[in-house]
Amino acid sequence: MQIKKSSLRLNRKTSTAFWLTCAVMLSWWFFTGQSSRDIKIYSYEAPEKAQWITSHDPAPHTACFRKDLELLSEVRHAHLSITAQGGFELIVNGNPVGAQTLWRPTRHFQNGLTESGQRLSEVEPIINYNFPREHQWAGHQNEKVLIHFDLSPYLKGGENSICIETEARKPLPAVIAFGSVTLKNGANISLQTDTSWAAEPVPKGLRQADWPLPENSVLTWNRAVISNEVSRRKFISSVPPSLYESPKKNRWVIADKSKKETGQTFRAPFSLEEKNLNSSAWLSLVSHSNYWIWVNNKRLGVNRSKKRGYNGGPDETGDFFGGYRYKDPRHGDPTENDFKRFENTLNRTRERPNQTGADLLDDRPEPGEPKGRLQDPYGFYEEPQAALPHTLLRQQASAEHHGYDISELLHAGDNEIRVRLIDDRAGRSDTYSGSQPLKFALFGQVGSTNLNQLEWQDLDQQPLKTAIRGKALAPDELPPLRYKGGVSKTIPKLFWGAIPLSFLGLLILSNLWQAFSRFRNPALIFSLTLLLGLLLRLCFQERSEIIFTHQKLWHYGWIILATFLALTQSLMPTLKLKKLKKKGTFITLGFLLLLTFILRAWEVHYQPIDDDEYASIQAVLSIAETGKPTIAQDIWYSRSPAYHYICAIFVKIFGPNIWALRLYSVLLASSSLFY
Amino acid sequence: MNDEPTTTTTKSESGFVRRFFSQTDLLPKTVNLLFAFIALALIALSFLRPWYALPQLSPEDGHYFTCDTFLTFPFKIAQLLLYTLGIIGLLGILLFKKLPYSAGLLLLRFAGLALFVTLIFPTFLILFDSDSSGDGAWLQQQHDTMTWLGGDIYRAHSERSIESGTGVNAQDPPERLAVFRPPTASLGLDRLNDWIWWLGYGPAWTQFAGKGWFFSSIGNGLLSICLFGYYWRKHIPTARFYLRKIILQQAVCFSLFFALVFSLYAITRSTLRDAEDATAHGHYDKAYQHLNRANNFIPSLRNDSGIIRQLGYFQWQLNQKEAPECQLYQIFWLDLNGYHDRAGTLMDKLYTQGKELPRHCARELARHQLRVAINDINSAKTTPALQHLSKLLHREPNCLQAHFHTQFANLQSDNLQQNRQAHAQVLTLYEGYKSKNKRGVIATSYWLLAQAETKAGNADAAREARLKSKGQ
Repeated sequence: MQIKKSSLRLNRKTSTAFWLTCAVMLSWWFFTGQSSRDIKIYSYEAPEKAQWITSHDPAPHTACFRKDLELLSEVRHAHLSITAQGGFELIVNGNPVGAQTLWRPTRHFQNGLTESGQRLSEVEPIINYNFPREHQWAGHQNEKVLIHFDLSPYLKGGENSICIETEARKPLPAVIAFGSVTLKNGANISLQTDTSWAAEPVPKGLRQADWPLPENSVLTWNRAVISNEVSRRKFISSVPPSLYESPKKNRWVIADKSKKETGQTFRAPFSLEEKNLNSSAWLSLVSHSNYWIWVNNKRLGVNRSKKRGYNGGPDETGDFFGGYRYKDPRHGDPTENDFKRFENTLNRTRERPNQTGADLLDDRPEPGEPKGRLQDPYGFYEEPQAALPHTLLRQQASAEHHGYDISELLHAGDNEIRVRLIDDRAGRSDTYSGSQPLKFALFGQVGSTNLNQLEWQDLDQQPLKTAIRGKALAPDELPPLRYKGGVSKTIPKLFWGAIPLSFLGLLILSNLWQAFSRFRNPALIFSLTLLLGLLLRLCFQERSEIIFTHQKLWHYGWIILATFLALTQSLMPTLKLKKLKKKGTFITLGFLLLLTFILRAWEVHYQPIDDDEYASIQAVLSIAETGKPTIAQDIWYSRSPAYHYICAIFVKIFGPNIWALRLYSVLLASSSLFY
Repeated sequence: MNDEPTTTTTKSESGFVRRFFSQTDLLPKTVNLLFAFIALALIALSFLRPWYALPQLSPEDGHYFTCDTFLTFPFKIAQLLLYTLGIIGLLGILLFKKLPYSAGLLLLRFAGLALFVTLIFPTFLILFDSDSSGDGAWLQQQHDTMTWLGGDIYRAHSERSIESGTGVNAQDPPERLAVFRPPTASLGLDRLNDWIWWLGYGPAWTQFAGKGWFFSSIGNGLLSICLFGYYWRKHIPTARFYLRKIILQQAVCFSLFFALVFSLYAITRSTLRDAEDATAHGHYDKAYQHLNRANNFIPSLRNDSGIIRQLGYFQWQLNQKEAPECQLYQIFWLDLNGYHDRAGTLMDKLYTQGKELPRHCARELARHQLRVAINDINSAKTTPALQHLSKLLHREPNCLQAHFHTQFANLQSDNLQQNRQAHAQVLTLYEGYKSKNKRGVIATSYWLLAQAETKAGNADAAREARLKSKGQ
């Protein structure tokens, strides 16, 4: 049978056009940073006084730090930036402020970060499965990323306690934090981790729920110790500098309550000088209602709350209030029912022998007494927590305070911010529509320019009128700031359109100009190198090592490497593809073999010895010493003798270490490549 | 003269038989032939069996049957057409030997195409059969709600009193039902998990895929392998050439198919973004049009609770308050804001529309009614819960969770007969489920029955049910 192999190949001119298109589009992809599609990253440096601190005990993997703070006046503004070697939780006056829980290293980077923290990447986890034997995985480099918290709603005049609980996969976990507190009387107190903090591996002398409360003394605790192991002073974060640091002062902008429309739009024009554009720019907005916001006609991503029904989509039907779950418990009170009340009639004293701590007597409420938590109908089950979570005791703010990075959206000259407040009760005559008008307050900064004093216009008023300004926001009206990121990078439509256009153009060019096809191989090498770069980045998508790929060095580095390889291929006749193809099989096989060996041997000592492996090791060591596979006196481990004797040869050559013991298995595994 | 032909035939036959049995590769050839027959039998069977089998209970007499998608028929026709064309082509080649085409390659091409058609069936189902994919997702969600780690089965063990069968925290249906997550964000590799769903191979497909589809996939795959085996034995370079040709054919087919599906999702994403933009600007009429356009691109998108709410919201803004989506939106809104009685009145009103209600709205309404019933169960209001469940089952007799909770509520209200009936329905409906973790629900259902029998004093029946709940 006649087989025409050429029929399976692409025409050379077509393939030239194809690979050149790939090269052009991938270069674009890399140069414009589309390959990362992440939010902007900022650098931070710790102040000199802030130290990495740890506890005095060298053994435990946990530590509890507490700083007691007596404030002589109410708080105007407070913030704290924090990072730890593993995970941490920040608790202020018993209120959990935020946490980065130490979760499995197989889970994606910043997996355990609470909503109040800030993520570096908005990409959703791809794999996110639970892998077995996760101890083989190195932990994420959490200590590189600074997490910021707004402490203003949590601190009060008088005694306060700032507590950090940390945990790491190593002894002596260290933490560093710095920030400041501005009081109403104008005093400014700087906060930083140093030896003035109390530190213990576990909350000494106090219960887990009690140690963060300022009324419980920690005078018996040891002082924190400065860590010798960590010296990092520079950090990164997705938060623009001064967003959390700046006190927020402004007046409400109030909507016209007489209007019955669902939305009311406000506009604030302002101009900027060129010099301001090089620095960071942010704005934050407080509102009781849903809203949309634009900066220079670019809409900010306001609907990112997971609570929204529509995948963060175009929703005005949901509600993104943080306090939503407390606002209207959907199921009502589950204890309000007509179940039979089960009494343990034998327990005449109503004691609860299984309960620990105080309240040994039955704490079920009397009729009419408010119920605080799930009741135990049997009256004898253990209830581990005898108190309500402090978060529930705290007054809930009905507004939300969101921060945005707007540095990519501004330009020199005239700019504009537009806000549209949404009232989903508008036009409903049959329900309670609230007693207060819709309102918002906006704070912002672009370099040295303050956006707090913007002149707001009511766009719905004809002719255009200045919006009604309300009273100034009191500090206790401000809910904690939540950073929502910037505008997500999207692939421009021009990019997709350019692909077929450039392909067609290049195809025409290659048909018109015969010599054009000589660019095929360099373009092929160039494109494949860039694709390799993308693949490599994808491999680290869920690891903290992805931080490195945020840098420009990564993007330009790959372009330079690809250019170098393409030029090398075209300039060096000895490396022509045809010649390479002849030896290609051996080179590829050798490369793959080496790669397999490296991958199999990589940190092979890290895996703990398995039970069965332990028996084998005993036999191998015995063979290496005595020539017999003895595992106990007169007992031979007779299983798989060939394997054990060959292993013993490696031990004889390289000595009795775990690498030598596992080397034979590694070699066998690498050789499996041939199959 | 008369004996000659007979003698010749006998000689020839014996020669053929001898030659046949003297072949060195007789066994592999026979096995190859055998598998080819099996493949053909499976392909034939695939025309008779359903390709998608949703469990259903008849509203009239409660008997069990499965419901196939309307897409199965055109796909079967396409397969039949492919095989007819293949056979015609084969006959043409055999009869007119001058045709410049190899019979083997032709057969392989058609078997490959048939396999391709079979494999893209789930994608078409999830994209274009809104009702079947929505019902499949709903049945699967009910199963998941009961069997996941925070579901009824696990929590029952930790929270329920064993003696009396009382319980709190029955699990209500999740806030959102969707056939897949709408393509609102990236469509790239970082949405790999979503791509499995978008291509139709999600849990609802694996749960309810019909035997016909499996027969077709295995049959066509096996037939291709057998044909390759035949040519491999005959002439290896030819077989390799065929392999390259078939790989190229499949690559072209799948590339075109993926390009088509990707374009569809990309257009839908763009339309959804336009809808979002229009919403933000308060242009609800445009947003409504965009969302409807997105629903037209991918019809099964309309099953998404978020989309239904969104459509309802737009209709509310556009003063189309009698539209079913708008009424649903009002029910949700009133419930969310604490006006439960008014939500209930509106729910009853919507129920009166009966079969006029579009399927996606009827399903969403059923989900809401189930949620109300479960709230009643959790508040120990057994009687209203049973009323809601009874109404719901009258409309949606294949609502698995409703049967399960009916059994539970009937245990509370000591109605043994109803308990038995609900138990039977749970068992019947579960015939249509494939995943093994259904055993947890079935065991719990037996346990609920055992408790009811115990309460009624039927010791033997209780013992039998208890043993069955233990899998004995």
